Amino acid sequence: MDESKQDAQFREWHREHQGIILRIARANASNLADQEDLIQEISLQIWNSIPGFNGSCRASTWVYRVALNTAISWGRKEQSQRRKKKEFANHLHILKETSEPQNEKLEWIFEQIRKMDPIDRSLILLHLDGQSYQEIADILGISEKNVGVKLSRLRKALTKKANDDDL
Amino acid sequence: MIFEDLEIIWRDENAHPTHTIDDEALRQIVLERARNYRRDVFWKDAMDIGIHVGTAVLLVGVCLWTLNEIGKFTQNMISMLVIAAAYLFASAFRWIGGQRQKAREANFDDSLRGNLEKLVANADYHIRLQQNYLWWYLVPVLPGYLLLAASFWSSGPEAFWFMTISVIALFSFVHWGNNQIVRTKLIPQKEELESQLAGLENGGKSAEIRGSSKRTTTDELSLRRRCFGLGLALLILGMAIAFLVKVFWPVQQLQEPDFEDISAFAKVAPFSAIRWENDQPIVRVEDRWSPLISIDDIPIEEIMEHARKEFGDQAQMRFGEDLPRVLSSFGHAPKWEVTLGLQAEDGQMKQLKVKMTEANRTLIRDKRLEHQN
Repeated sequence: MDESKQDAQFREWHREHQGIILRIARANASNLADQEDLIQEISLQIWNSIPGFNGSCRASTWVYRVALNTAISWGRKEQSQRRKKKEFANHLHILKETSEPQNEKLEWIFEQIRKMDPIDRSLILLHLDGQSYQEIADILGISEKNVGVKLSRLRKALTKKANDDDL
Repeated sequence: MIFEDLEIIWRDENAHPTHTIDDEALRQIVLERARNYRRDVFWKDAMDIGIHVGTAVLLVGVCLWTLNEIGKFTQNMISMLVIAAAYLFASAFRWIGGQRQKAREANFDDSLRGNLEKLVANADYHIRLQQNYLWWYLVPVLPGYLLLAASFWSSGPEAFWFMTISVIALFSFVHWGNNQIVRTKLIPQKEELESQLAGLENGGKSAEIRGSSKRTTTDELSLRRRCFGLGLALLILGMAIAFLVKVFWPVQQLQEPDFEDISAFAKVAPFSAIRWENDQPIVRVEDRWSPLISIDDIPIEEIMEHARKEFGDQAQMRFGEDLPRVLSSFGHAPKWEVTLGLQAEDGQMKQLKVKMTEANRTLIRDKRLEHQN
């Protein structure tokens, strides 16, 4: 695939699925610097994955897969390694603040998600984003039944925590 | 509150994000990092494989050039060729292993589970690579380095042992370092990935599913101990072989000499200085000058009579600087230690076992050159 086609595809996916990347970054990193780092990492992996995309699934499914896989690998890297990389990075700020006010309830949800292990984090993100059990099973590579069992447990735990914290 | 309330908050609030991505800035960064990524991959391969292939090519080149210059193989050239072959073997092993691993990893699907399985397989590959470093890198390279260390024998056994022990110490340190990396970094990484993979399953089935790639810690320790034990045995064996080769090789050369070929003989001497009173050598041994009566019970008169016939006017110079050749042409192949018959101050002859060293011979030669100048 030549670079101009890859570039066009990248721009299109980024325009359509920017929200997915933003939410996954926020669910995996608490501060803006780390979120920027993860967004860059996810975007790089999306760029690299474009030649391998054969259209056998929806583009959004593909983006979820790449982004969640990257987030897990990113989370496994040593903090010091990430900091070192950041220090040397050509640091353009890619996150722009909007005029929307900070929502405390949404931040509370993200905080709970960040406390989960990477698998549960991926599951609940996909579920909250409205993905069907079939799509979640496809993205994670597990059975729909398994998705149902795990989500039921996660939903209960999250609701209980929300009530305990008087959200 | 019920879960649906959380879903509403999620949906509504995420529709109005507090931050957006600057598309153009991100694109610039991605393009630059994609270029850097390709460059990094290239240099990683170059570092892993290219350096060893390059070194092997360089060593072979040096050998060919030297062969062209002096027209014969020397022990150092053989050492270099053995090292070059070992480097090529290690590089080929690494490259083929890497390609096979890439092919294996391509079989995993793109799901999160597939990605985790791929990462476990990758961690497993690197653990095996590091654990077997002794076999595919250190053991093939060791004989060449030991042969090279053996070439220091002519400077005295101390130099040989120093080099040999240094090489083995270095290799042991590398082996230990690799085991440390496996123990403190790679195995915990793999275990973390396996636990994440287990998280995708219900209950404890994951260990069974991924059981083929998982060994217990005890097994790993036992495997490492076995590897280290066998490796140590091989190191000692290699050291012994190199020692025997070096000890007997020059003797063999002296027993079947090519008298026209000066370089076939070790450049060593059992005394550090020599002067002559007619055809009687006075030699300096252990910081004392004494007339030399015999070498290995052969009277000096006989040796010098033969040397006169063989080397003419150069007999005295050859005796001082090419004693192994002089004695060999006389029919006596000397060992690395000879027995000198020295006349003591009281006129009695005393016998002294002395090592022949390159340092002694260099002193004699330097003294002659200094005198000539």
